[in-house]
Amino acid sequence: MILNIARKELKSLFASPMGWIILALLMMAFGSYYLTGVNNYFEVMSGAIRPAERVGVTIFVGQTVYSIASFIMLFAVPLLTMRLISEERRSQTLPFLFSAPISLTEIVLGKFLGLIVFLSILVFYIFLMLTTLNIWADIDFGYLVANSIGLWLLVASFSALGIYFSSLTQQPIIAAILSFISLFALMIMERFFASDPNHWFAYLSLMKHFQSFSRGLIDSSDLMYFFLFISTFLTLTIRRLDADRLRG
Amino acid sequence: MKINSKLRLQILIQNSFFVVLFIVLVFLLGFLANQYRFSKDITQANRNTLTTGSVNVLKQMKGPITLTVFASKDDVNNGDTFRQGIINFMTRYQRTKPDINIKFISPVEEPKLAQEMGIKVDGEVVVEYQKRSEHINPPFAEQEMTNLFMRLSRTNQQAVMYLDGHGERNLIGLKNNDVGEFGKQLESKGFKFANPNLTVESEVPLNGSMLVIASPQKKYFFY
Repeated sequence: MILNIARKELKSLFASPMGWIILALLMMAFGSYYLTGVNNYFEVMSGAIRPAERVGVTIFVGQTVYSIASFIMLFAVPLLTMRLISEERRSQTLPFLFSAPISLTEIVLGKFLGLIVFLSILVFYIFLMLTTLNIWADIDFGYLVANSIGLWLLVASFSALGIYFSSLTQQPIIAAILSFISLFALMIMERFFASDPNHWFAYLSLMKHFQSFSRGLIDSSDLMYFFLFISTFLTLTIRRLDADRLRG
Repeated sequence: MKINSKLRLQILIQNSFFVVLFIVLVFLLGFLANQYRFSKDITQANRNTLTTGSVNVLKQMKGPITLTVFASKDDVNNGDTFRQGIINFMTRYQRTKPDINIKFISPVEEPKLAQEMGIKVDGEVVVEYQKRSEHINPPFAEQEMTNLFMRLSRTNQQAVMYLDGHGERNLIGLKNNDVGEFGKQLESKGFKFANPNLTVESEVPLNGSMLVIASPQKKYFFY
């Protein structure tokens, strides 16, 4: 049943040109950063830079693309999640969904999964785009894989939080604004504790956990953080819809 | 189901209990995951892993190591970036030896303490291990840090003795036929030198670890 809902969500994204346009525009943004990255690499590395500070082309270009990707996703994901539940509520189709012979968990997981499949296409495209560097250079695939896993977990966390805010309100645009603000706060939280990097509050920041992936490191604690983040907001969404169903 | 105010209160209490307990559980799991962490470096160049030399040095060191970093706090001098840089740099060591603790002290806020510790540069790091300490100034890389750890872990304080005055290659000399560069390497790894004066002392002192006689050009006379 989860798969059916996920398929329906995906179909509704690709039924209109909307899904294609989003993919194309985002890829254009990532592609242009990729090209500037390659350009800058030759400019910077051919200049007077100390040999100890030189980095490989994978890291130089990968860092450019993945850091901008995490930032662009911060805007893109709330716009995609905003209509998932609040649109159903506004068009009064939520009672139909509740009365269907599926559990609330399946509904929420299905919607989440549909969105994740859509976003996975983007993450995979970015990975493919960066592997084209392999034609000219010998690149570090492990670094790219770690970054892709990190980015994937990051957008999954964005979506989970976005779905939660979408379940709170009737207006999709309010859901988008709320989830954007809270995601932005979570992303830059560690900046406020920059002078005390071991403070436990900085541990809550999404960016801090993305960083170890962006260095090519798979850390169990960071995997657990993303897993807990996603499951927390999905559970809260299910609880919220359950309360709706009870009150009628 | 009819909902009256009593039932509504019950539901509210039930829900808030659930949310509070759930969030406590999530924080607990997050805390546990942070305590028992393991990580894998999947880059091809192993850029997040220490070299085997450093790992061997760390393995010989029993007991905690404390790093006290005297770095200013504000962003004017890039203090925050520097602090984050130190943490990123030391995580490679901490993954091999978890009981490396890092403490940050702003020399601007505690000038007295900085003076007592003899801090001269912003960003100076005091490394303590088994009641002995050494200072290191930025910029430093893995080689310098590992050499410092090696110096600290060398408890044997018996000196390396060398003779001179007979045309030997000198361990602290600068001339062409001297081995001063080798001496510097030994010194950076924690060896101490002593130069026994055999014209004053009647025999070679017993408290040294070894006596280096590096290709003398003249004959020795022992009485």
